[in-house]
Amino acid sequence: MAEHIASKIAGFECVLDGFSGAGGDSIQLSLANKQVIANDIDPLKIQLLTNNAAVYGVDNIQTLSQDFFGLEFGRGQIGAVYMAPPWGGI
Amino acid sequence: MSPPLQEIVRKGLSISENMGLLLPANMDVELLARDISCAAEELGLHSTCSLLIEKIFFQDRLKFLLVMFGSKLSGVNLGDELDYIYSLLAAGRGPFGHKRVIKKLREDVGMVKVLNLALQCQRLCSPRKQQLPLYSIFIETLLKEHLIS
Repeated sequence: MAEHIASKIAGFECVLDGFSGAGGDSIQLSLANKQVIANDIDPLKIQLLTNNAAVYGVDNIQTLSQDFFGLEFGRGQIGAVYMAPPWGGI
Repeated sequence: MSPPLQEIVRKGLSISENMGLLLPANMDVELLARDISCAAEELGLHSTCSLLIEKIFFQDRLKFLLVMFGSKLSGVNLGDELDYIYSLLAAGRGPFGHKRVIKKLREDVGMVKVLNLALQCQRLCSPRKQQLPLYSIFIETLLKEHLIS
């Protein structure tokens, strides 16, 4: 599914994954875009994401651990934003 | 559902005009479209109103809705959106002859507003079909809403 999502959100200079979790989607997005900013409010998830990114050999993910609603970016800095809010999953 | 969808959509669109959103399958699509439309209007996103909703199945069961908003994600561009509005306003009476006015309105008030008004006029037009062309009702509605002077 992450691969499918990354096929839709591709070719941007910078993509924000607002609720990254352990980074399944962020890693795929990083393969399809120049840079990804992965954010999760839980620092443990960000630690997992960093480890997972290293396993996949991905080095274009910048991480943040903030409340999504407090994130601020300059105009035009983020080409696309992807959000999978933590409402449950498979 | 926490955090509320409306807040997520508004925040997402304030960060970028191109937004992908993965939602549970039981999401009310009408509510979703309304929230996106409201946020786009509030934030003055004039460039587009194109929206694509894709059903994601897992083990033959519908699990998620993948929502793509923005011309760089949805595959629907500004020209397609304008053509749709022209076809709505022409209402099968041949080629639409007021494209420049519509383009200017889109620049001034935004695509979402123009599309909503066109749809609203289409609904209004049905009982009055024989009296006025839809474009006249569109302009009349805009005037009533003080969008143009």
